[in-house]
Amino acid sequence: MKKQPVLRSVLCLLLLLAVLAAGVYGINGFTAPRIAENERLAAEAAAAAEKALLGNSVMLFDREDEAASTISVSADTVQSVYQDDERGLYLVRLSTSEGYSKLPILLTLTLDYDGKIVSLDINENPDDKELGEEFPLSFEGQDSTLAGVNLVAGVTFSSSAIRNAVNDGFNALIDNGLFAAAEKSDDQLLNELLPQVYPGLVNKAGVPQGEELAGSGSVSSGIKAANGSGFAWFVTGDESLLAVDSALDTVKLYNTAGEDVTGTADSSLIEEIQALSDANADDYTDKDLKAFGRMLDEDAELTAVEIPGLCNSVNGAYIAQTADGERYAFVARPYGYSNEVMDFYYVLDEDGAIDAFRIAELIIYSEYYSAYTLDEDSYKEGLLGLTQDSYTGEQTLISGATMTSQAADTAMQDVFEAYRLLMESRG
Amino acid sequence: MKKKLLSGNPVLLLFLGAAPALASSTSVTSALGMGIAVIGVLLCSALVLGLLRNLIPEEAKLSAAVIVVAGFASMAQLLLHAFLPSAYAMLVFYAAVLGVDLMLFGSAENAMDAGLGKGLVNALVSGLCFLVFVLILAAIRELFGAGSFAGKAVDGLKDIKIALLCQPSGGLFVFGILLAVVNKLFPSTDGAGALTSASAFLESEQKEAEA
Repeated sequence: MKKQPVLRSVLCLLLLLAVLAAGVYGINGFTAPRIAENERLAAEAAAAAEKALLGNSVMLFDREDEAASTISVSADTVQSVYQDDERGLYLVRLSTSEGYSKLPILLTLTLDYDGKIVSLDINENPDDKELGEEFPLSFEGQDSTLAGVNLVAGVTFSSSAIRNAVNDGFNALIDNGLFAAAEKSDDQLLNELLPQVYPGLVNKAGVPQGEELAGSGSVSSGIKAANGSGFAWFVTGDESLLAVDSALDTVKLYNTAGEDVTGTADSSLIEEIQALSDANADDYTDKDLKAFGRMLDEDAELTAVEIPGLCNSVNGAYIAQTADGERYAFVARPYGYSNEVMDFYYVLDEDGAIDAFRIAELIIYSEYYSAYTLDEDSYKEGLLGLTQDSYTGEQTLISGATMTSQAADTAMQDVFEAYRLLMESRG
Repeated sequence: MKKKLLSGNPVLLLFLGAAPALASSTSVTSALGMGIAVIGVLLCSALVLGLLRNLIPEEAKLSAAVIVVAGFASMAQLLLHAFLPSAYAMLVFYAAVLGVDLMLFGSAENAMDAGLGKGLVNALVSGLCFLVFVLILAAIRELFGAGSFAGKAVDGLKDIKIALLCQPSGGLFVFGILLAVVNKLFPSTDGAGALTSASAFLESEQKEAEA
């Protein structure tokens, strides 16, 4: 008897399900042709828009059909190049995955025959952060130097990725002789040189991190590194120069061609630069000694040292005399999540192996949206004993924390480099 | 009616339908599309369940409500895709979420308890409540978050827009502000808090249905 209500409920629900399923099926039969027609019309509209854009353009390069291409392009960001003789334009389709989300950003770059940008269209941008309307407009009228294009504050990874892709687009046409490269100003050349000669100043995207400073005398301006690794000064005069005054090395001077001209420079210029740096420098010694005091035995004596040739994120180096022998203490300050400076403290033994490691705040918890767990003690233990040879990069990897992992990797590599140069200088 | 639309609004009072409301309120156009879809599903579900209420066993009423709502939500999705492709392109995933919207289930169950006539009226009122709420939410988010209204840029607002309002967290923030404003303007008669007001509201709904 009790089975009857259950049976009745089941039958009722099955009947309801069958009727509604029939209804959905019927509606689907009625709407499917219309949906297909809508999709066909949308595809035709997209093709017509593409045709309107390309006009009677001739394909010069297509990554998917390189055999039919008449020019060669090495940069992976360039997907296709078209030439429109009627309108005197080149159309370059670009795709870059170097933005914040690492998903493809699709661009269409339109250039005239004089090598000036007519327009830059961002066709697809999967990144959450808004670039704003001004950024693509800032490319219009620019030549291959892209002098008037500034990165968007707070969206530096994506705006830098787009700028680099546009640069690749220009190079694709310049390398094939379609127009000549514009001449870059000395300032531009020196700014482009900066990440190569002073990696401690820039983040992973190659963007300088620091405070702009006014210069004096021969020095027009400078940048004080946010992580205390030193200063970059721009020198004007008969020859424009870039001066790098690293925290652990003496002043180095470079010309616009990237050549080290320190040996031939006027000593008074070098003194001027050192004086400017000293006037603006912060002293991290007390902070460093306090941190190392916790990592070494009580009787350890620390002596600060300079390391010739070093200008990465390491801004503190000490030789420690301990009961166990000589130890080498380094402080690396790379840029982590949101370009925040992270303080990594290392003590290496006589064989260059990590003897102790310390960091105040490994994961900036408040910055991450997803629930996050890391066994910090195990992570730190895993770094002990590593040398430059045994370090593969995987030991510093933190799943789900890409920027922190990159900062930890930078710190590790920079510290090993600092150790190597220190040993070299000591003979 | 005013009380029902504002302080008695199931979205504001009971947080029913808040998920699709928040999800579709990034622009006025998608909010309007979602609101119309919700009203359609509510009315169709109330009609079918109101007609069949005497035939469906008591034990099967909730399951029947789920099946009917899911069926009509699927039909709404197909019809949107076919006849309003631009609105569908904005809604897509959110239209599928309709099939699991608690407000729709609640209204469908009410139709089976209250009868066809009252069920249809309740469904229409609930749908209008949802539409009003989601349009107000979308208007605020689009105007102050994107500097536009129904896709058209508004002069003067573009320079002061707060992009966060177009993000999920911004939607919750605006939702909270709306809730606070409505509670302040239309407090419950006994001055009780929101939870007490919610249970009192549910009791009054039940009494109305039984009457």
